[in-house]
Amino acid sequence: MTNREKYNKAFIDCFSVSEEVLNEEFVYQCIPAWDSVGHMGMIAALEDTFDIMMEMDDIVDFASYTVGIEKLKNYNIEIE
Amino acid sequence: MFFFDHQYLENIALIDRHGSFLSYSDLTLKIKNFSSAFDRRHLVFIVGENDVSSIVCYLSCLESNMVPLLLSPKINLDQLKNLIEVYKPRYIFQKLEDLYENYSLALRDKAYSLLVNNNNLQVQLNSKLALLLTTSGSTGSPKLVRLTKKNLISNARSISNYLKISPDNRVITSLPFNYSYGLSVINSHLISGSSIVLSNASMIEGEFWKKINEHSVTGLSGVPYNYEMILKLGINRLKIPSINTMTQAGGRLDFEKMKTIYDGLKSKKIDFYSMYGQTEATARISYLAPNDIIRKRGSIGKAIPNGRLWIEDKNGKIIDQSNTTGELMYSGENVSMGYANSLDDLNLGDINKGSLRTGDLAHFDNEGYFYIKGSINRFIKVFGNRISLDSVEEIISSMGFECAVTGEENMLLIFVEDHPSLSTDSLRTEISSLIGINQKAIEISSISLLPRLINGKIDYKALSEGK
Repeated sequence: MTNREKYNKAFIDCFSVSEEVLNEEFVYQCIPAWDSVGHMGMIAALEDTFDIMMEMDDIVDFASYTVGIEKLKNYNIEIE
Repeated sequence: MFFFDHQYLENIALIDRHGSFLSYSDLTLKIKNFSSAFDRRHLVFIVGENDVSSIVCYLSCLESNMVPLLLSPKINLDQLKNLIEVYKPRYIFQKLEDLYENYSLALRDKAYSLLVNNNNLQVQLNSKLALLLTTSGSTGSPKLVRLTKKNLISNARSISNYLKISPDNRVITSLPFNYSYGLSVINSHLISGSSIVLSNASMIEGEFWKKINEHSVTGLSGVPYNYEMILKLGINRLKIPSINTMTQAGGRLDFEKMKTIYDGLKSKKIDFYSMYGQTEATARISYLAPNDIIRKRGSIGKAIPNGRLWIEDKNGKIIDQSNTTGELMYSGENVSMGYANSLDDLNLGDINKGSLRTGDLAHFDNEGYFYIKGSINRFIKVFGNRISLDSVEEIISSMGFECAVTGEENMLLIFVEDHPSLSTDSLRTEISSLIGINQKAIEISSISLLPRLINGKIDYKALSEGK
């Protein structure tokens, strides 16, 4: 799997959404599943997937699908 | 003015989301203005959040002897309509533009509208009734807790007393306004002349932590799930130098996690209190002081000031032996009058008479500290919400499915018998919306036949062993 596929899979699994909705409009609280509980689940899934430990600032600023891609760069994960 | 002490009128009461300050005298003026919208004692539904408008409406109700029911804006619309149908409030205060049949706009306050019913609705309200709250983790049932002004004042004073809340304190809202714990934080700070930073951001939003530093917040509250988030974020990475007190309630926090939090906060010179309570007792029942957290591992502590805890056996006889389990009982001025399930019930008097059966099984040690061992009723805690397993079963049965619901902390386990129209995915989404908990915390399994006991009742033991 490419990093993009892995990244998308975490969102699809955590929020039960289809791949088509994953774009810059997919933001925190845009669907009921992405509340604070869903957020921590998604962060945990990404940490498992990429074998990283995210910093507090990155977790609390991870406000959208697109912003997340920028945050992962801090851990040398490039989502192409 | 209700809750306000004259000597604190020039103190800052509220800091809104834009960072503007409102003093207690500013707030008094707003309450006086708002109160003029009410014509006679009646019910007011407040579908509100932690913002100036909701708090002004709530305090105006108390000041003008209206009876508010506090509700979350996340409430499912069908459930809200059902509550309106059952309780027929004269007023509804909410952000939504939805106009219900027979309601029209009375006034606007920023994003909110106060709607008034056009019919001459009659209601008999008990003279002591001052506030209605849903039982925590409401499963959409119309069951409400009936509270008095004495309940509110007494609990706010007790909390202020044991947490030593002073006018120098400044708390940030981190729990919903309609949740008894969230409301108790607001009430106990208003009565102490302290200030409240209004925020609806969750702890996983950067904005929340920025506000703490921007306004030099000194106090913070959370349910176990909030503390799990804090652990996840990394307690040593939290840069919150102004905080001096943090409280935990709303469910059991695993002791190892509690210890990590206690140690982490101690090194930051932050006092950590673990507390126990129920909406049926306004909010708080007992607390464990910072010095006892480690020494009295897993204890709910002792009763709050002016309250009393004891244990009774199955026959209602008081157990005076330590380390003997029975039902936990509480008495105090904060014990509600009882429940309401219908409009007629709002005229009921004080049924509890100051004493509450908590439904929890507990014992006390030889120094009088209480420990909860389990629950008599079938309830679980999911991210701070108390969920009645029986109510969830009722909801699913009403959809035409045979089901059994069990659960553990933060996980609702639903077993449904196979049915041609059963889709576990859509059922999960529906349940999630109806009871307001994240779908991650709901697991649905379809099985061919539910195990039953000889008397036809669900065999929960066999179900959990089959897992």
